[in-house]
Amino acid sequence: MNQALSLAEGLQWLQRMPAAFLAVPQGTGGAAAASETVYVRAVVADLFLALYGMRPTPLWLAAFDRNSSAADSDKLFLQAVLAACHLLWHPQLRLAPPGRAALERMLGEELRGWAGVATGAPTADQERSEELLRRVLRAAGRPLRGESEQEGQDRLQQVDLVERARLIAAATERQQARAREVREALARKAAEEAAAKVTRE
Amino acid sequence: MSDSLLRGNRAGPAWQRLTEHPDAPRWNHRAGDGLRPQDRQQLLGWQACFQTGRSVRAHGQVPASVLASLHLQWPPRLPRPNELAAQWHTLPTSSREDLALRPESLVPDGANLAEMLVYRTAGTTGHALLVPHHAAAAACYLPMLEFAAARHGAHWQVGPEVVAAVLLGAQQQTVTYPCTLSLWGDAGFAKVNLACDDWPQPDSPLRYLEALQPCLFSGDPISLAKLLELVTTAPGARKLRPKAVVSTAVAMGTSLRRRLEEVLAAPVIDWYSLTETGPLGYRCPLSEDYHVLPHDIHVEVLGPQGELLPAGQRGEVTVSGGRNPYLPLLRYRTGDFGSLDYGPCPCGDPMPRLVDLEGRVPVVLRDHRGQLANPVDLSRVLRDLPLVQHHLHQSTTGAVQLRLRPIAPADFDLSWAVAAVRQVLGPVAVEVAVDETLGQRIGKAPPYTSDWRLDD
Repeated sequence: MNQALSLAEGLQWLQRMPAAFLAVPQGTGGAAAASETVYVRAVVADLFLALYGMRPTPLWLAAFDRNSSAADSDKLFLQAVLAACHLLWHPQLRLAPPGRAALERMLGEELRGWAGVATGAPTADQERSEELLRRVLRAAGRPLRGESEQEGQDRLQQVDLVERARLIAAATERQQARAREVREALARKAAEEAAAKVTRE
Repeated sequence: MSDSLLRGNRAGPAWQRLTEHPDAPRWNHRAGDGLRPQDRQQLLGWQACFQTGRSVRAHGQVPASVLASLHLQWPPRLPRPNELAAQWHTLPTSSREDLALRPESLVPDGANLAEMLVYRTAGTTGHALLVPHHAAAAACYLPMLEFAAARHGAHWQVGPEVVAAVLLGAQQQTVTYPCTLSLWGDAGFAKVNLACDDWPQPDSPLRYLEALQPCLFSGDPISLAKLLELVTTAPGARKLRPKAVVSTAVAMGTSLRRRLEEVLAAPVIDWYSLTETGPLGYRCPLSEDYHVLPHDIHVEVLGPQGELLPAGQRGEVTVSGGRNPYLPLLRYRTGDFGSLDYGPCPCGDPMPRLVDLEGRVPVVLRDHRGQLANPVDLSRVLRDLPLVQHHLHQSTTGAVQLRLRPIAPADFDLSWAVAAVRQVLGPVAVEVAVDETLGQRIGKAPPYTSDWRLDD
């Protein structure tokens, strides 16, 4: 029987990620020796071959090529893709992998969005590792052992960096709009004389 | 002018006396008390609490009603009252700087701005600020005035026939208007300027005031000194008989107070009030101390780091609470300094007393002819300049030294400031310098100082 992963098992699996996956991915750091670099595009292509029997199109795979700008977000994105590939290599996930389209969306879009707001590696601490594990499981449509789908979604929302950034941005926008509203009202109403007051200060 | 601000005016007998007298000034503004029916209802409730809520206070103990009110006005920023009380002395303080630079941080998120009013501080004891306010909060001044007057033995009846109060100004320019006060039964009220040419005849001001016979005069010491001059230099018997005089803005000297009391045969009540808070204190009938007046404001005295000082130790007067829904203050440093005495007062008022209150020292300025000039007029012209802060000092030669902290020093033309000062004081010597450190101290940076004394 294909038993669901527990949180502890998933995190332990992530901790056992090959050292090369933890290094600066291919092309983004420049200092790593050629023998230590991991070609992310190749890892993704091999994973798809193993899971679905065919590689993705070269055009889609180009998203995992070295980015000449070598921005931090690009490095974090490639690190997250490698860590996600490692998780997807877990025997229980290999037996029941995500749908191909869901995996393409998760690797190509969702992790890119995550890297845009992240400030540290995807396995930098337990919360980030849990977030990545839950993203992979969500793409696979599989909850953690002992959790309902709703519980899994709720917990992901708690650790979701993208959601957190969205909430902060929305709150900031609300605050800025309120600040504008207050300042404009102060300026507008200062031009009028206020209600009668029997003493001055 | 928004119609909402004219709310409350009733064209009754008091209104007619104010507006139809042949000596009435040319009004330059219209205003009302701005109260809606629901505000009046709410005010009756507030008034009842005011009557019963003034009681003995303990040092370091925030009244439960203030905690509850702050919690209600700042959800979810502030915890429940009991937790708020426990954390009180670790809460950050706020100040005039917050109001000047980050007003939105002091206005609750849920406050409906449609009913907001704005008062501008006069800028005589600190840099001018825009203060969000509410008509009902401003109307609470009335019961507090009645209470303080009663403590000094003055009582009056209000109603539609009566002109209850006249606020006196003595400035080159200020708004003037008549109105009626619905909380005082549509009694009349007028704000007049004694030092302007808006009167039909030179002797109209006194005749007009004598015809109105207001129960109460209020004004700063300069305008009350002007009233004294009008009364004492007029021929014939003295007819003005107010029940009380309230001196505001800055402290009134003892000699001027005694002279006013003698000439007007009424108590002169020194009044401590900030635009941000409304009335905070009135002078005790038996001493020079100020009893804390409102029941819904917690007053504490803090040290430079925001630490609560022991009773009797001087520090910055800091206030919390209040009834202004647009400015529920949380440990707001007033910039004024003094100490608190919680001991029983022989006058019988149980509320603590502010002792040796500093920050309200009257400043005497004179124009090129040696006539008294009101700092309010200087604030009016200087506030049009792009300044963060200013400090003006006048020596007894009449020469003025002006230090300025412009918003953008590189774009500021010093001649603008010289022209502004001369607009009020005439052709006096003015020395101007930019000082970008101005105002970077705790409390109010006094905008005006002078070598003149009030007796000069």
